[in-house]
Amino acid sequence: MSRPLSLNRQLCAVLCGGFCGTITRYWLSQLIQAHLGKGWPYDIFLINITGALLLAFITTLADETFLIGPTRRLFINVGFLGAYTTFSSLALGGVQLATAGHWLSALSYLFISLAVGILAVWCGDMLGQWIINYKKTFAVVKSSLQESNMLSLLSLGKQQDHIDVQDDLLLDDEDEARIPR
Amino acid sequence: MFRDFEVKISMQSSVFVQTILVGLAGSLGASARYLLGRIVAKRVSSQIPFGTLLINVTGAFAIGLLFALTSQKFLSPALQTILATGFLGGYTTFSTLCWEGTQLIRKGNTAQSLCYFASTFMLGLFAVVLGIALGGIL
Repeated sequence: MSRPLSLNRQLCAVLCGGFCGTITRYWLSQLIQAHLGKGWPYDIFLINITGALLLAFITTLADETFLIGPTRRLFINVGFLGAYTTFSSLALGGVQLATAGHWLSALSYLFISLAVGILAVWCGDMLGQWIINYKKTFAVVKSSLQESNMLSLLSLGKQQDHIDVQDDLLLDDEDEARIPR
Repeated sequence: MFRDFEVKISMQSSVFVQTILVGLAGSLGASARYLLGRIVAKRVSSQIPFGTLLINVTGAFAIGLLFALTSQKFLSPALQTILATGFLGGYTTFSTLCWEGTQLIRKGNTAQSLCYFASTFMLGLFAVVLGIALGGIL
């Protein structure tokens, strides 16, 4: 069904995602520093937390191959979110706070980052599971409606209104073969 | 007035160029992380994700070194932003660290998960201090 993606395609997805993720972090960090000041590293904290939440959410969807295929997974998870979040700035921020004598804020920064990060992963995972369950329930309701011929009256039954996840698994030559003649 | 306008334009374009350079460095960092992670995952088969651990600790060492070199005026702040915020920010990752640690807890390996988090943070902080110290000697 799915051939493994070529290394070029994988690298391309990671490169593009990394570019977007780094620019988003750079821009967002300047924005947050302008609004909340530079005393406590709010920027890196908020970026890391939102990144962890999104990563858990997307990975849960990707494991069920719902909306996310392998290329999109590499682009979003490994490329974008991997580059968006950062560990090096977190560690440097902690050391800088500690060397400035603010031991308490250094410790709180590191511990709160880790604890809220784990909590964010858990929340993102729950959110993903919830959406998958919602989709499954919806599919069951839809198929039962189709059986009772109610949807065909509304001419919704034959409409293809889902995103083709398989499309993401195909390589270019397979894509061409699928074009209807 | 015309001169002010020119200065404004050149400042805006330098911000733009800086942003693009940060983004390019970040994309290189992200692909370095991906390739290194794959190589380590192939060589080492373990529950604890050593690839991410290695990446985060080496990235933390490098950012300490860069920080020390910049404060000694070896590197310009613009270059520091490109290398630290761009390359090292793209290279190291916090989201994967949290996800992998939480997956270990979910599989029932709570001890390994604690070990993973503790070693990443301890070694990471130690690496930053080491990098700053080494940059001070150079």
